[in-house]
Amino acid sequence: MLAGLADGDATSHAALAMRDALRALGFASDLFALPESVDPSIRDQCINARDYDATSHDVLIHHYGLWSDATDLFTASRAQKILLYHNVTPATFFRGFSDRMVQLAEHSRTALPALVAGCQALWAVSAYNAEELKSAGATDVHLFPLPFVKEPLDRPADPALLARLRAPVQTMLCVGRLAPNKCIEDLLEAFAWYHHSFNPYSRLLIVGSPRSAPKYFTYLRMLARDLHTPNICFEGFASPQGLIAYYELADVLVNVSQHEGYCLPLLEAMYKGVPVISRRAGGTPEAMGQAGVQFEELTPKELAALMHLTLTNASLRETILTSQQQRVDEALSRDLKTELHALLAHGI
Amino acid sequence: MTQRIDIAGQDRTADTVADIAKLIAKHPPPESWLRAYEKRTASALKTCDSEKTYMDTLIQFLRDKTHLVTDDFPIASRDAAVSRAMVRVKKALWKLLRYQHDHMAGQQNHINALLTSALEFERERNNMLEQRILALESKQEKQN
Repeated sequence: MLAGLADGDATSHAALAMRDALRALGFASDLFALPESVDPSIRDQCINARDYDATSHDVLIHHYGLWSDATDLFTASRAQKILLYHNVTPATFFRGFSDRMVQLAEHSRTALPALVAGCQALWAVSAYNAEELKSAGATDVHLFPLPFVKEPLDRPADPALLARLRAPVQTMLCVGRLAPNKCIEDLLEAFAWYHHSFNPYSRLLIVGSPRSAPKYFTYLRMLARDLHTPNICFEGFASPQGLIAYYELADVLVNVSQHEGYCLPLLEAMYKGVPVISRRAGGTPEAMGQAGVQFEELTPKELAALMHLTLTNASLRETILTSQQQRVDEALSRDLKTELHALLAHGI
Repeated sequence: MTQRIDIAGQDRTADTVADIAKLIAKHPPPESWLRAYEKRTASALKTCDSEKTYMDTLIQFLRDKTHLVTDDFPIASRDAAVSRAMVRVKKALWKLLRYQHDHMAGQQNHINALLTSALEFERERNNMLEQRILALESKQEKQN
């Protein structure tokens, strides 16, 4: 049970991978999502959540990151319930940008203890998220890291996008929805320092939908103008093939998010051979593992210098890419079927 | 919180922070950009405590940013003869086009200023209506 389903969305890909693994284990498994939030291109992959008529023999797994009608359907269901916790962004990030999101995020967190109490099993996509569930009263939380699915990244890149954006410039990439917890303002400032101090032939591509917080997007645009820095490109939501093109164009992926449940784009970039620089926050150290560059407490100009170092020091780059390849191999070696079988055997 | 940099799972804070400090000292940004950077104001939008204060701040900013800036700006040029020649061509073109361009920019500035005024008036009216609704709601609550 999910709030929505979209091609190119990490949670959706994880849910599809879980469904396939469960089917391979011999279960009858389907995805249920709210039709108003389902991408038409994969509508055939799910069933209207409102049509789900549960029996007490069913097991219902709910991907939870924000309260939605799907959560209401989940709590009202007669099925045995498993909550898969993706993390709720703290409301404080949305203050000033969206009163509605502040209310929704607050409700999603305050409702967590009751939600936890009503479930037969609790799974979390990172140890960081598991701790949050424990703070909400859970005693037994099982770890189920977000599955990394490589197949969508093996598709050919969008040729039109490649043709439009291919240029002899250094490309910094940021991938993720434009939401205040991502702290993209820190990256804009770091890029401005980089552009003016180290390399005027550089650009920053910011890929992600601004829909969840349009006022935050307006703030970012105003800040980009204030920084007197060209080549800050807000690219919006990317199609799956478009996303591959962005990874192919990128020289480095930088994540400065202050709050993440896990952050799958870090692994995606690693898989596509892009060096990753990430702030250590929330669940990102678990996604990064022993790979890439992780930092804490750097000013924008220090981050700019770190980006320059990563891009120009060949041996450092080699070390980073080798560590990332190992991390990707580790992520791909997971046996989802065995993990799911063991999790389902425990408590259900 | 203290600074920390891990590379490939190893704590490399000491050597990397030293390298970063050297790079910063070696590559200062242009003074003109630094002055402009220090004057950035958009960050005030991040500290608003509600959408209402955000909107008030945004409209105030719009008032300050209605005019297109048509001043000259530095054009980056790679150290090659072709690039230098291209920059000269760009500068010459700008001199030729500037008269027509500024005429159009003037019209655009005028439109921007009018639109900002209209937004300010609308915002003022909205605030007034919100206040009236609040007053009426509280009056009705007292009557109930």
